[in-house]
Amino acid sequence: MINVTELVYRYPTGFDALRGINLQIDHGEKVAIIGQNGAGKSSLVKHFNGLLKPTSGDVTINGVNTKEKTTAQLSRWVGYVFQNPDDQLFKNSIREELLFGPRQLSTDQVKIDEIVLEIAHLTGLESSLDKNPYDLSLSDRKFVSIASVLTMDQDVVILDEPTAGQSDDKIALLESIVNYLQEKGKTIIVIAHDMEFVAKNFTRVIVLSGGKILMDDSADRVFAQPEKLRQSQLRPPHITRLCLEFGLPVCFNVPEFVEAFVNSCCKRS
Amino acid sequence: MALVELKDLSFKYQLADEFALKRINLKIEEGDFYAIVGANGSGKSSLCYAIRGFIPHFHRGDFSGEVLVADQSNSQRKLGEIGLDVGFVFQNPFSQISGVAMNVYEEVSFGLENLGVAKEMIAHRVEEIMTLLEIEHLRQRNPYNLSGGEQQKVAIASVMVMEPRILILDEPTSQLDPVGTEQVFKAIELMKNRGMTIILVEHKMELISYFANKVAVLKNGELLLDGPIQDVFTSPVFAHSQIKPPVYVEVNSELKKHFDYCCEEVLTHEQCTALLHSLKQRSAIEK
Amino acid sequence: MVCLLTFYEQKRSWFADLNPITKLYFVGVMFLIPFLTDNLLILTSYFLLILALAYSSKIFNRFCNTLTRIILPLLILLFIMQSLLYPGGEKIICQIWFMSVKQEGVIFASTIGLRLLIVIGSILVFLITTHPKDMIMALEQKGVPSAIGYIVLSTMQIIPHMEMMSKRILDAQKSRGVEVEGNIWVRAKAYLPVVVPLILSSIAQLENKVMALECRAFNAPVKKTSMVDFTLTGADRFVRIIVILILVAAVVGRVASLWL
Repeated sequence: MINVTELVYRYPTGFDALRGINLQIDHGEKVAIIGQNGAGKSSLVKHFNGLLKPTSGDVTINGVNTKEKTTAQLSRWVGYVFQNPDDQLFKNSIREELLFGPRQLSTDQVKIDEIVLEIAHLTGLESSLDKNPYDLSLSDRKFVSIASVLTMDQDVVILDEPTAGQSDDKIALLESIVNYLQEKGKTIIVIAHDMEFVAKNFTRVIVLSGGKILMDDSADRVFAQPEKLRQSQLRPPHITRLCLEFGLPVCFNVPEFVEAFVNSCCKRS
Repeated sequence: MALVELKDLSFKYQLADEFALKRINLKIEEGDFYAIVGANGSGKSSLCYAIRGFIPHFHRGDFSGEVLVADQSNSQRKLGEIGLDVGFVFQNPFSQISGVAMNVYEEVSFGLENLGVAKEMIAHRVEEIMTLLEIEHLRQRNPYNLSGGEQQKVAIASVMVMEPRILILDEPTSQLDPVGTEQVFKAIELMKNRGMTIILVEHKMELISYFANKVAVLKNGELLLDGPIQDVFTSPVFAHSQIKPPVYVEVNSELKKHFDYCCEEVLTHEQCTALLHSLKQRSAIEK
Repeated sequence: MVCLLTFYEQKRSWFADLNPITKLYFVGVMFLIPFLTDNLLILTSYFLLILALAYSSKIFNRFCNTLTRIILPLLILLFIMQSLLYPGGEKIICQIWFMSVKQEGVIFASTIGLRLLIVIGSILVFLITTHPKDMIMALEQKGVPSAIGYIVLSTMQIIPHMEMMSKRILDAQKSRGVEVEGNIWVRAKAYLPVVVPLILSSIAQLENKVMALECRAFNAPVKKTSMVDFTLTGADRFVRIIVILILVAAVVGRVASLWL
């Protein structure tokens, strides 16, 4: 689905952001990309919708080389939600904002209306559809920009740091959005610094450091290697650290940890 | 006598329907590391603006009550004057870049120049803060060319270096990686040890419970709870806050279903591992 | 992409080291003298003076690139319009299709063009050789409130700032299917989805920026430290005298030409 071969990217300033990335992401996969600030995460995913074109190497989406298409053309398959919603929002009402994207891709108004209502419900915006996006708080505007990309119903959805600055209730909403996308068979790619969110929701975790892939494995295996994670300025989730300290199998939630701990205490007899 | 005191503070932004702050009464003592927590939209940033004086001097609206900083009412002081006592780091790092500095070194020095600090002192303090936040390698870089996380650290450094009496930080680590986050918290702790009073808005509960000594919980513009960390996070009222306590609190209550032990406050990683070790030893002995 | 919000380039030279106010004297005089003469030779020599200054300040390439980028389209338009459409022109230089290029038009366009080059060129030399903070500081030492210095600076930064932001907004909208590559009609359709967020974001950011500056003690009731020494040197005095003499000579020349 997404194929990255020997991808090298150098910014016009001369900075080498990506130094030889090889990667394959299949249909329906849920992937989290983590790594230190400046590791190349955004630079990598911007190649998936053609915002950046490789300095050398290739990126293909469904067999199509991104060098041959514009971003707008690739937006038919790949959606990208940026970190700052204010770079995107320009309509007077949230409804119009949600309608904008799908209208670029299709003229089936009935289908478009249906999906707008569905996504508005999913993102908790049903009662705000007639409001101006700028009447909402920044945190709520982030959901407007997520919704405005989801209405485009693309095969691949990229979310760039959706958890930054969000409180627990909003993170729970994000989790339900990720689940919805998975049920729909979408390929989901998320960049995040929230290790708990990543561990709980993503089966595959790619760790970038200095423009290269440090680890590309299941969440269990990635978070079991704190020394390696440290190389990219990362830490395992808090509960996982407890697992590692007590020699218990890696897990990401409290009940599982406590059960394993209790069992380990009983085993001593 | 509190360094910062909010008396019956209420505020509604001009174009808003609801009050952002409703009858807040809060006291912050000198030397406190006070965390402000709550769901998005609960009024955390507005509270900070009120302490800094942006409410009501900059943001107009329906203001009632009083905000006292060092015994002086904010309403009676000019913004520039309040700024000599209160430092502020905003959420968005991009808009904090001054636009007058060619590189990070100049950016960090800017505040000190405006304060009239002597040239030699400026050099010394800037070097120190850059080392503390591990941004020395960025010194010649243009602030606008940095990543969001790097910009955030530069913004924090630029305000910390001014060593205000009270330092307010509004979600300063939202874009930082885990280690970068820890570096910032450690730097804040250092500032506190030097006598600064810290007011920190954050979502990262585990770090708050380790570094802060007091916390205020906001919900829909009202003050739900406030006081020492252990009292607040273990209070039954906290369950109504719409936010989760540090994960260790959940570990503690889960452990209590399996083990019989006295109520112990478990808020940090260290406290949790100590408890787990003691439980393990105890069950080994019992067997 | 190297992102700069000002034209300033950190290169030391005799001109760059002058007090910013001295440089402003120079700019002020270069604003006035082009309008005191119609003589193309004199105007050209004023412009050559600016070019020589740019060269001796080691900013020649930067200066020419920026000046060309800013002025060239305007100059081309000016020349075409005036050469072909100058009212009442009689001396025809040559014919292009059905339109005739008139000498009076060419002369008129050259005069306006040179004046533009001189005025904008002198501002550019000033901006490329003056650190924005130095400018604010020098003005402040003269008694100008720092807020005004900052407003001047922000105004100068508006266009590069918007250029920088529009790149981000463009990326976001391209990702939503807005096509920006193509013919003029395609690009025209992309206008609204880019301009509206640009303006709204700029306004919101301005508010944040003012608060952030406030938190850097910009308006603190204390005297600012200057990292740079602004006392006038011999060079400053010399340049100021020369520049005033040029102005006087230009005025005298104008008066004389009116009399005779």
